[in-house]
Order: sequence, then structure tokens, then C-alpha cells
Amino acid sequence: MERRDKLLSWLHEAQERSGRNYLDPKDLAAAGKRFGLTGAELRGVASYYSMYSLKPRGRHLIRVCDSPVCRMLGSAGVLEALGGALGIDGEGTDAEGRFTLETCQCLGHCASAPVVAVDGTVHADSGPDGIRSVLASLREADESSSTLGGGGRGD
Amino acid sequence: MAEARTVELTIDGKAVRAREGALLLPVAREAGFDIPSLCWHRKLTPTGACRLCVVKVAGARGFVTACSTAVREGMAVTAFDEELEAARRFVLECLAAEVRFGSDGSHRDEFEELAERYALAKPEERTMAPLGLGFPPVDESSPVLSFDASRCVKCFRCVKACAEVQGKGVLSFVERGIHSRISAGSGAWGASECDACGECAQLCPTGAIVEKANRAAFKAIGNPRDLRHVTSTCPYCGVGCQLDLSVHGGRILRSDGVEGVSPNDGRLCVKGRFGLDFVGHPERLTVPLVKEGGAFREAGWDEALALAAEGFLRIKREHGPGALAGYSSAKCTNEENYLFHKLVRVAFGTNNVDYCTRLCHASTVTAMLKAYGDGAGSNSIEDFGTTDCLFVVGNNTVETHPVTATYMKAGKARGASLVVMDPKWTPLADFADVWLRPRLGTDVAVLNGMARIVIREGLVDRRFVGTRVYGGLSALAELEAAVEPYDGKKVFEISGVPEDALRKATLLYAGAPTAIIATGMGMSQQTVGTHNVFALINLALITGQIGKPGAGIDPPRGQNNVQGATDSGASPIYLPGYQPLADEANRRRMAELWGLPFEELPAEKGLTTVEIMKAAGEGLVKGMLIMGENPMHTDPDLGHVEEAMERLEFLVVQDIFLTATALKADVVLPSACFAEKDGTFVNSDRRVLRVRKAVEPPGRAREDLRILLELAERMGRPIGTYPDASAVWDELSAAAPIFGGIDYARLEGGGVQWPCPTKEHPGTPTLFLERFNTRDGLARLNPVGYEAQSERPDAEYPFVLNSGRILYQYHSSTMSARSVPLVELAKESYVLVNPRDAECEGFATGTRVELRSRRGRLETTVRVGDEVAEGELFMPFHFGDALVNRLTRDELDPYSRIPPFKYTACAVRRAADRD
Amino acid sequence: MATERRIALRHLDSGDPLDIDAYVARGGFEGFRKALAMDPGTLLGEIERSALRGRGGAGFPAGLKEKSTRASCEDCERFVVCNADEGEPGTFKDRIIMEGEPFLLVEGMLISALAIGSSYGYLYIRGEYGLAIERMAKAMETARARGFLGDGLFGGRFSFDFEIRKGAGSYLCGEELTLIESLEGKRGYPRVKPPFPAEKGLWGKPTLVNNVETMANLPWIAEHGADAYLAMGSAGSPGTKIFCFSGDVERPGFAELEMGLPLRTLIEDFAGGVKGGGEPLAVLLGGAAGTFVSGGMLDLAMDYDALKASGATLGSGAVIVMGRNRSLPDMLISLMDFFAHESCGKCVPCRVGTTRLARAAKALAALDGADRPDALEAMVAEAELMAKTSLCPLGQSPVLPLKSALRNLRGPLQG
Repeated sequence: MERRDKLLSWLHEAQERSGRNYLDPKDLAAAGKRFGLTGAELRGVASYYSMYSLKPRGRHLIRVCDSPVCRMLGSAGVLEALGGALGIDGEGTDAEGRFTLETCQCLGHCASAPVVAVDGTVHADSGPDGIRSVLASLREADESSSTLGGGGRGD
Repeated sequence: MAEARTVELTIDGKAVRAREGALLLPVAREAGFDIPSLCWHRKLTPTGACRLCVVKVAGARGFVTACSTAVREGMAVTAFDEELEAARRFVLECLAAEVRFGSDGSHRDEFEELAERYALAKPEERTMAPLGLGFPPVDESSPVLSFDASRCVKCFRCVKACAEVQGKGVLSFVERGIHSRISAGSGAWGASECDACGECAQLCPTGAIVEKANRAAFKAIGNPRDLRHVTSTCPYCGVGCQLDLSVHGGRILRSDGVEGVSPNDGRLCVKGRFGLDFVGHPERLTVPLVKEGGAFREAGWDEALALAAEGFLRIKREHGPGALAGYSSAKCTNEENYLFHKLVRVAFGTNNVDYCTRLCHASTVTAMLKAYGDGAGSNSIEDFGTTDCLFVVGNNTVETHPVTATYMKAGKARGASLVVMDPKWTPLADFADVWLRPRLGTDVAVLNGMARIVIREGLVDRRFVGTRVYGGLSALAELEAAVEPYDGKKVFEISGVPEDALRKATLLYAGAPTAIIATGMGMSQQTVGTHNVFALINLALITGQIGKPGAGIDPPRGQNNVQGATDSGASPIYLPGYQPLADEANRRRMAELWGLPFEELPAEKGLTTVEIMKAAGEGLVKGMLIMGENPMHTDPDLGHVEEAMERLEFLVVQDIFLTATALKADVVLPSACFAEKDGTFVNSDRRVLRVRKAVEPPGRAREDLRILLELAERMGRPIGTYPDASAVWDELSAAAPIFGGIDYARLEGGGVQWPCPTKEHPGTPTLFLERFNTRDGLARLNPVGYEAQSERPDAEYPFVLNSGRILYQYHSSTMSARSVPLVELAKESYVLVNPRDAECEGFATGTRVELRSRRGRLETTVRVGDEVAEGELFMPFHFGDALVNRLTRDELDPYSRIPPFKYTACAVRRAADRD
Repeated sequence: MATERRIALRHLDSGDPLDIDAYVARGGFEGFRKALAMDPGTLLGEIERSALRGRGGAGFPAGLKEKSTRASCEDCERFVVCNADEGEPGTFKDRIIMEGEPFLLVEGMLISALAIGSSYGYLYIRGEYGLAIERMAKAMETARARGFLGDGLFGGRFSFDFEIRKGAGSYLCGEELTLIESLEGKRGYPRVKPPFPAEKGLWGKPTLVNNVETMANLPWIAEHGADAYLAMGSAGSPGTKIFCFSGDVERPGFAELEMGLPLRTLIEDFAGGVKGGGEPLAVLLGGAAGTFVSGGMLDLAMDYDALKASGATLGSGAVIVMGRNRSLPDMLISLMDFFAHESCGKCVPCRVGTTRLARAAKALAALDGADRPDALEAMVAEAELMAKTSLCPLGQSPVLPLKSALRNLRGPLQG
């Protein structure tokens, strides 16, 4: 049995593997065997940390920083603009399961506030226009990977 | 260990003395300062979650929590002042804004009590508006517990009870912050890994987690203070857990563990907590039954006892005392067992008295008596939590002795090493540093291989062998020669245990400062059972892992009083206290105590359990008295047992239910169960524990004590008059020197471990510290060799069937099959099949199969699982729907006469469709 | 005009951050080499004498922490844990170090290990810092390949290596004992103190937990000695501090400065001044767990003691500037939301208190200006009770911005 301190990293990897940015119950069961943990212990850890999700998210994850600095500098407007572009009301996932839009706490890029992280990469000075072009290229990439049968891994 | 220093501190100006390092909260409470807390519990590590126990300590910045602060010399503590009380009230009010309180009559609600104390009980006393959070509906999905999140104060006591005390970790908080809540498993409690021990409910301070049973009754009572409490000893396994029975209206409404008392310190398992509803089961026997024309009819006690006495007298008259025999009972009290053996020896006039011990640890006891003179565990159950290395052999402790296993897991968590040896996966294997997995029946080879490594690698404790083992180093040389052939290659060939695992296990065991072996049925229930245990004892002796605190060999005993029944004299070869019957002086002493002419005590060694049954089959034993045993379920080769029972001319059964055995009886005498009588049990660590009457027996059922006395009286051989159980004990303690210093008054203060020869003697937590119990005080090495099983799998019977117990049922299930929760948790037989075998045979979980052995057949359902190795099968033996003993054989270990329940060659195939 | 004094950032902007040869050529690992030549007592003495304080926010003397970790047992296993779980809003200095000069942190960890007698460590980086994790992993591998990590370093007896562990989104895990729980793969719950990590940390072993910036100061101190370090900054707060500027300033960013400079200098000289000119409405120092000063308090000296005297804190070094048109109540809502979101829920006062304060902040914003001081006063009273009774620093933090706002920002509150 593996020592538990590698659990968080393992969950990160499982979440990436899932293609839907979430922890599949099968992965949790595998983690249980690997680390000798019960269902509750695993769910306890997985639900504590805000980067994990127990429900499927979109293939691409967009996190809008909503910490005090970004909020002061207009994160609400960014969220709204993104929601409008993606057809998502507030936070959530689009109908095709391509994008999930969610808010998060400080991303540590306060000098560029307001910021948005797309699949882990922070986009500075995320004015509505800037982020729209990011989305456009992301959408293109997603479509080509879907047609190639790549399953849209969130990389 | 150095005595902890005593320190003096002041609390609100009052000088208080305490052990250095003790936590301030219990110290303050002990001194009369009722500092509030909801999250602290003496069994758990400090949590610091409820923040109610904040105090001020001079020199410390801000408040500190008394639950997490150790006392030191000169510490000046403020426990109560306006500021602290205001802070506590603030915290309580926060909690009152979050969740609701109010006892439902079954448990104290400590939150409610504190709300009253801090004038927050009424909404108008509060300034904080309720947060108005939604709560999930009450989770009723567990068979035994219900959880109401709206009453949960998130104190962590249940989570820690499960993880720290029970070593299970089934509960956790999920989510975080104000949304955090308790969860079992990954959703519904009933679908979680919870094994229903109920420790969480016992430690819950508010009643958010409660037992499901008897809710309406509690509600009707209204106030938990109106319950009567009776402390007694659990009637299931041999751990001897102390129960706090809540009694009302002649019924047991709840069973809790008694906190702070050995051996269980409040812990229980599912059976002790939730499996006692058999007591009030409608199928209890309430009137004597006599058989007429092949059917039972009800009878009065007079008639039934007269019939019983006449029947035995007739056989004795016509065929001699040797045609009579008795099965005493590992379920009954010491007092009852004592009177039973007295009845058999005095009224029957034979030594044909035995009981099911012959079927569980007879080989262990035989080997131990020969090797070091005592047939009992050398340590205390608590030692499993403190020793440096645990070597668990053929014992599924987690399921068969769940509370003992909690100590083992705690020891492991504290840093002890754990070696498990078992052909079948057991839950403990997951915790093990090394799991040795020999093929069934190859244990001697493995243990000899370990002994060889010890000797070859210079790990022998030569001083110990030289001074405490008979023959010293020359005896060691003999052992060395005997184990020499068992090199890594040979051990692997025979057992399949790889050399590196064998070596690692040996080094852990031999290299630990102290190590304890727990040995179970996996070792004992084989035709080579005695040899298995000899090999184990040899290992302990050459490494010096016995005869010092925290080291030894312990066979966790299966039945609640399997230890005590032999201690009390229910044996074909021993009088009470292991005094050999063959020794005339012992018989003389016994006869004198009983006021009988010496000649009237039978001298000839009696028949053992399986021998009695064989003799019955051969027509040699013609009449039997069976007290609370069920050989029609538990004995090997049941087909043969049934024939033998049917051949008996006369059978009387005392029991609490109409068992398979009772059905064969001519007279059935309804008896009182553990909760309906006084007495004592002896648990696995030789602890004499009180059993106390909590409720009245049903109908006209009587205590076995009284039945035995009247039966002997009616046979014209009275065995005494005793005002109560205590008087029987006094005679027993006079008869058995190991009990000499124990009486009921002394047991009020908790159990006492034998040997305890005098009133002044403190009892014996660890055996053999100075000498072994042999005449010369030295232990014996008994070199043994591996022998292949006489029954081998072949083309016709290609599998090897192992049998044993599971957590949720118990023994022949006479009691546990009549417990609603236990049946809900496990109600049917099954056979475990390795996934590869299942694939070859085309079985899946749920496939109905027929198992055949050279002796019988049965049908059951497949469960596919890698708990068993390829070629091996496992069946629990509890279930009446598929009696595994129809398949087992009655070939015996030549030394201890134990049958091989763990090894049966058998065939398995898909059952023919019945419809 | 004041200039930057780069100690913890001295290798920044010097080309490829992953070029170990260039790092060595610039004098990298010189501090470690010197430390290795000292006996541990001397090294500890130097660090202690430098009066270096923890740069994560709490400001605990670094030397004292190292000393007690070393002293807690003889010949036992000890761990070095570098706390890179930088989650304080407005703070990103540790990210800058890890992305820009990863070898300096490796060197800082080496010196920490040498000081306490440890041979193994962990670098716990918040999961959101993808680039920092990548760079540190590469730097670690390179350092190992080049013999700066591993057994018998520099041919001597000292061995040290470490692993990187990723957080997964929890501000509270920046608290040292919570970080240890998280490192062990558990929920981020704070442990009760005592015992402190110096005594019982990771897996119950003595553990030194220090912030990235703190460790990044060690190579310089080892190389140049405590006296040189003491010569910088102010008397009570020697050395430098990295400040992070965000909000309504012309040039948001960061600067490493000697301590003791006036706040005005920081904002005007290093952040380009308040956006649109003039004085700010308020400045939030130290992030969410920080304190407000008013636009009229810009002459405050930025050192631990001077700030403390004004009811303010230096904290993590975040300098969040609010322009004149910003709403203080909105900012309070953000802060209180932040705490409610990040409260772990373990202890009652924080779990319930942060929830209540988040609601109270929203209610306050809806009040007329004149009624707000009373409402804020009530919030402060509750936050004070929370601070007194809470288990860990998170529950003790909301009172800081609230109380300082009540004290320093009456005008903005009502306006």
C-alpha cells in the first residue's frame, strides 16, 4: 500500500486523465485500494480541495479569479462576458460538456487583475476582448481534437 | 517504565495535584471544575474543535484549550471568569444558530444540557438568528444506526471513534467550512464500509447518531435517566466485553460498552451492541417439551425433570455409567459448567464430559500444556496495543475478535510491526508489514523455516534458552536438526511462501524487543493442529518472545466462556483448575470437598467431544445430556453425527432455542440466557468477569444452575444446595487454586486474571514471567516435522475447502440468526471462489453451486473474491441453509482429538436447476 | 528616489532561470558552500543573529524556529518543508521566486536542512501555480543531476534531497500545521498547537516549515553574514521584504525593498502612484488577513514594529491600493466571502462566525452610511470573540481588516 502523502498528486493526475476534469468514482475506488483508504476518507479529501470535482466538468476548465483584488477590478464583468460567449449562466458547464466556467479564489496574479485561468494557464489582464480570443482558439483546438477522436483531454 | 512525576498547579486559585503531562481538561474536571466541552473524549486524541474548554494560563498569550494543554508544575489556570464564560456562551450560541438540539429520550444531549447551563435553551435567550441552512434528510440506510445531520455539532468524536478507536476510518467529514458534514462511505451510510460496531453512536455527545432499534420505546420513556443500567459480560465471543445494558419494562433496550473498564474500554462490535435482541425473541423456549410419538408436547417441570432423571437412571442401571455422557457449554457460566461436571461425575458416575473446546483450541491447549504447563493465553488483551511486533497466525481477528483487533490496529498505528500468516485474506492483512500466505495445511513447514532462519542468523535468545528451556542449548541443537531441512527453497515448494517474505517476517518477529503471537483456528483445527502450535511455541521459545511483559502466545478464544468451562472442570481429563483427574490426590481432594467417598468418583479418563459422538454412533454411549451446545451444527461430518444422535436411546437438551440438536431430544428443558442470570465468564486473557441478571427469563424457562441441581436431586445423587450463583463460585474457587483469591465481592471492582490463588494476590496479567507452570519451571521445545494432509485433493475432489466465521454471525447462529440486525447484515451461506477458478468453472457471484466431499453434499451460492487462493474455497459455518460440516471429516489430531475443519477436499459444480 | 535592494530576488531577470551554470557563475550555491563549511551551531547562530523573520505573514523569528527544530531531539529524522502555498490575496512574491530563480530556493532549502540537521524535505506548492511547479521540478532535477542534491554533497557527509508536492486549492493549507496535514494526504484541517512542528510535524517528526521568501534570504545571509544583513532595513526589522502592488496603481507589480521605507514611497516610486493620481481611498496591507490604512496614512514606515503601533500589519507584503471611487463595503464583502469560502469548518467559532460575517458584510453594504459604523462595530465585536476562541489563524484573521477599517476608515465607510 502506498503512503498517503502522494494522494493529492494522484488525484490531480486522475482528474486530468478523466478528460472531464473530475474524479471518476472508479478512480476514487482505485485510490482506495492503492492508499488503503475508505470511501469517506477519499471523498473527504476530494471534496475539501477546491481544485477537485466529484462531478464531471467540461473538457476545458475556465476559472475566473474572484478574490478581493480581481473582484475590485471587475471579475464580475469577466464572468458575465465569458458566460455570454459560452452560453453558460453564471457558473456551470455548457450543454456540450466542452467548457466549465467557475470562480475561484486568488490565483496569485494580482498585478494582472482581473485574471482568468484556462486549463491551468493564467491569462493576464483578462478584459472581455482578450479572453474571447483565447476562447476562440480553444474552441478550435477542441473541435479538431474531438474530430480526431482524442476525447478532448483537458491538457 | 518510570513513574510519571506529580505536579502541582492552581485552577482558579485552588491547588490541584496531577500527573505531569496529563491533559488539563480531565484534571480540572476531576478537581471539580466543570469546564464544558463537546469534542473531547478521554479515548480520543485532542481535537480542539468545539472551543468550549478555553481557559487562561498565566504567561500564555490568549486562550488555550484545556483539552489540548498538558499540566505542568506551577501552572496557574483560570477556568472561570466573565470573559471566558462570555466566550463559551458565544461559541455555544454560534452552534445553536447552526444546528438544533433536544434529546429524544434515548441519549443525553450534552449540547442541550450546555445550552440550558448557558441560558441559551430558549430562542428568546439568543441574539443570533438561525443560519437556516438546509440539512439532508435523516440517513436511515444503515441497518443499525440513523444519522440526523441537523443535530450534528461536528465535534469529530464519531470520526475519531471510527478511526482511532476502531481503526476503521469509515466516517469522514466531506465538503468544507459551513457546508462540511459527516459522511459514511461515499454517500448513504448503508452502502459504506461501516461494519456496524456503533462506537460512533456511543461517543456521539448529542444523539445525532443513534441506534435504530427501540426508538418508540425510548420516546415513550422520555428521559434517559429513567433507564435501569446493568453491567454484564457479552455472550458472544471470548473477548469478554463489558456491557452496559439499558433496561426498561423487562426488556433490554440498548447495549453500550462500559467505558474505562478492561478488556474493552467501551468498545463493542456489531454483535455485542446490536445482536442481543435474541434475548426477547418469540422463538425462545418457554416451557419444557417432551417427545411423544415423535412429536413434542409441552410439559410441566416436574414431569420433564422426572422423565429426564428416569431416562438417565435406566441407562446407567442397564449399561453402566460409561453409557452416559454430557456436553457442557462454552456459552454457560463457570458456575453452570462447574455444576455440570459435578453432575456428570457424581450423578452419572462417569468422566464423559466435554464440550466444544475440543473443536476449537484443543490442540493449542494440548501443545501449550506440554510446552509450558498452562493452557491459556499468556498476555492481556491490552498488550496487543503495546507490544512491538504482532504475529497473527490463522486468526481472522478483525471478524472473530473485533475488539481485540482494535488493540492490534492501535498498536500498528503506534508503530508496531505486524506479520499476518493466513492462507485466506483477512482484513488485518491490509495492515500487515508482511502477509505470509501458505497453502492450506502447510504451516509447520513455514514455521520451521522461520525457526531455521532464527538459528542460522544468530537471532536465538541464548540466555533465555539456556536458563528457561529444559535441556537448554542441547535441546536447541535437537530443534536445529529438526528444522534444518526447511530451507527457503523447501518452504517455498511446500507452502508457496517466498523466501524473502519468510525472512522479513522472521526478522520482524525475532528482532522486535517484544512480540506477541495470536494464534487461531487456522492453526488449531487441523489434523496436525498440535504440531502447528508446537512449531509456533518453538519459535517463541528460541527467540525469547515469551516470559516477559508484552510477549507471549495468545489464542483468542472463540466462545464467551470457552476458557472458563475447562477452568471450571468441564473436561474428561481435568478437574477444576487443570488438576489432572488421573492424579489420585486430586480426586481425593475433590471428593473431600464434595463430601463424597473417594471411591465414588470415577477415575477412568472420559471421552472427548468427538469421541462421545463416535461412541454414540457405535452404540456405546446411549444417553446424553447436552447443555447449550449444538453438535448437530458444529461437529464435523454431520451425516455421521446425525446417525449417532439418532442412535442414542435418550437425549436431554437444555437450551434457549429449539436447535437442530434439541429437535433430536427426548426432553427439552428451557433455560435462561446470559441476561437472565448471575454468574461469571472467563475471557481469552483469563479474566474472570461477572454476568449479571438484567431481565427475567421468558415463560417458565429456568436457569441452568437450577435445572442441574434438580436433575441430580431426582437422580438420587444430589450435588448440593446453593442459595445463589455466588455460593457455587465459592465452592469452585475452593476447588480450583487458580481461582482461590477471587470472589464476587472482588469482581465488583472489575475482572481479575487467573491465576489468583489468594485474596491478596493481584491477579496475573502476564504468565511465565519467572517460571513456566511445569514441575521444574522450564519450558519444553518440541521439534516437529511437516506432514502432508491425509486427505488430498484429487481429480474427483480437486478443491480444498476452508471453513470459519464471519463478523455478522456467530457460531451455530442459535443466537445471531435470531437477531434482526445481524440477519439483515448476513443471512445466507456462500462459498468464496477465487476469480480464476470461477472463470474456469464458469461461475459468477450469485451462481448456485453444489459442493461435495467424500462425506456429504450441500448447495450454496458463489461469491467470487481473491480473498481465497486458487484451488481453495471458503465457507462460513454459521448458516443453517448449508451446513458446511456435512462436508468436513472427523479424522482427529492424534494428540488433542481436534477435527480438521480447515481442510476438506471437495468438488464444486453448478447446481442442477430446481425449477 | 529609493532603489530596490534585491536579496531574495537577486537572481531574478538574469536570463534563463533554469540555467544552472549561469546560476553558479553568478555566485549561486556560494551561500550553501559557506554554510557547509560552518558547524551547524555557527550557521544557526548567524541566522538567528540576522533577526530574519518569517516572510509568510506571521513574522516569527526564523532562527528561533530552526534552533528549536534542531534541538527537539538528537539524531532523529527531521524534515524541511518549504511552504509555497501562497494563497494570500494580493500576494505573489513566492511565485516570482519559484518561476524566476528556482535554484535560489533549492539553495535556501539546502541551507535550512543543514541548519536543522535534516536530509529530506518537501516543497509544497499550491496547485494553481502550474508554471512554478514545472520550473521547480526541472530545477530540482538539474540540481540533482549536477550534484547539488543527493548523497554526500560536495564530497562531504551532508546529504539532502526533496520532493515537490502539489496543493489542490485551499488557502488554509498555507498555515504550517495545516500544510503538514495536507502533505500527509489529508483534509486541510489545522492541528491543535502545541505540539508545534518543531517538535511534532510531518509524520510526527520534528519539522521546519518556512516560507519561500524566508528561505530565499538564507543563501545571502550564509554568504555575507548576519552583520551585513542587519545593516539593511530598520532596527527592529532588518533586511529586505518583497512587496506586491495591486489594485488601483499605475504599475502593479513587485519590488524587494529594505524595510522601513514609508508606504508612500512604495506606492509612488515602485507602483507608479495611485491610478489617476492623488491619494488612495485606502490601502489594504498584507492581504485578506491584513489591515487597512487610510489614504492619509501613507507616511507609515513599512516595518513590523511601526505598523504594529498603528494597528496595522506588514503580513505577506501585499499592498492593495483602493482608488477614491472604490466602495469599502464592497471590499469588506469580498474579504468576508473569502474567509467564509476558506474556513475549513473544524472549529465552531470560525465555521459559524465567517458565515455570519459574510452575511453581515452584505447587510452592512445595504445600510445607510450613517448606520454603518455601528454595524461594523458589531462585526468587530463578533470577530474579536472569534479571534479569541478560534483554533487557527484563519478564524483569528477577519478581525484584522474589520477592526482596522473601523479605526482608520470611518469616512470611506460612511461614504
